[in-house]
Amino acid sequence: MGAAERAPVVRELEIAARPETVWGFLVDADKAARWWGVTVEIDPRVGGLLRVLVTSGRTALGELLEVDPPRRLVYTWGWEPTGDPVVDQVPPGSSTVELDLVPSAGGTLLRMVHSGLPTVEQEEAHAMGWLHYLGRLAVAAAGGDPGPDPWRRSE
Amino acid sequence: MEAALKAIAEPNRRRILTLVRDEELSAGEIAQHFQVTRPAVSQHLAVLKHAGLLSERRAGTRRLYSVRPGGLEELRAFIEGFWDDRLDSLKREAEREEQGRHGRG
Repeated sequence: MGAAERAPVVRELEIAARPETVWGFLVDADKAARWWGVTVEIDPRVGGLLRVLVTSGRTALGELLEVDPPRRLVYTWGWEPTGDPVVDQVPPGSSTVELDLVPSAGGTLLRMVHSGLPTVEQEEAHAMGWLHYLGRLAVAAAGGDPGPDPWRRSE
Repeated sequence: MEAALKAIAEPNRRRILTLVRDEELSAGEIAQHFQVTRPAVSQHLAVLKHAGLLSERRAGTRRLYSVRPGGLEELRAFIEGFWDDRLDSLKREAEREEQGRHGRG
């Protein structure tokens, strides 16, 4: 892993239920809604779409990359733009969630890995952008002319 | 982005960001620099915080504010909290279903 890569968020938990039962909660829309919170649309095949309206009122979108019942489910993950600069750093398609179900003595060991999160470099670029524009705004606010924006690209 | 742009469109809010760029200040210390009422300052602080431009830290009974140029640690905390909450619910629901099945069987 290079220094620029961001460590994934990893969670492991024991669930006292068989993998087949847990799997149902991953791919069945009605069951998935019981833990996601609000509504879930899912087309459980490779290339299928996942759309989750989570309890916070945000909407997450994903595309299924691997579907191997009842062992492994992988999808892309990102939140639709919310206006919140924190969450908006993870737009749809930008990160990946892997869910592995391993049979265990107690039922199922679930391992969740959320990778592809923004890097420190992206974050610093984001911060530099803010400082740049804050500086220009400060000039404009004081009645000055900040001049043409050297960062502005033709779009 | 849009929330942040709206937040810095207001001159008092830009001034707050300038004040806390290099040092942490409490709401009271920030309010001393303004003619507007303390509730108005609190409102500005709330808008800046919501836009992700200002960070708030508790120190005893005081809340200290500083510029937050980026939100990577917050993003991390948000995502970790998000999964912790959701996976807890998944565990609860799956176990309830498994027990129900055994109970009926």
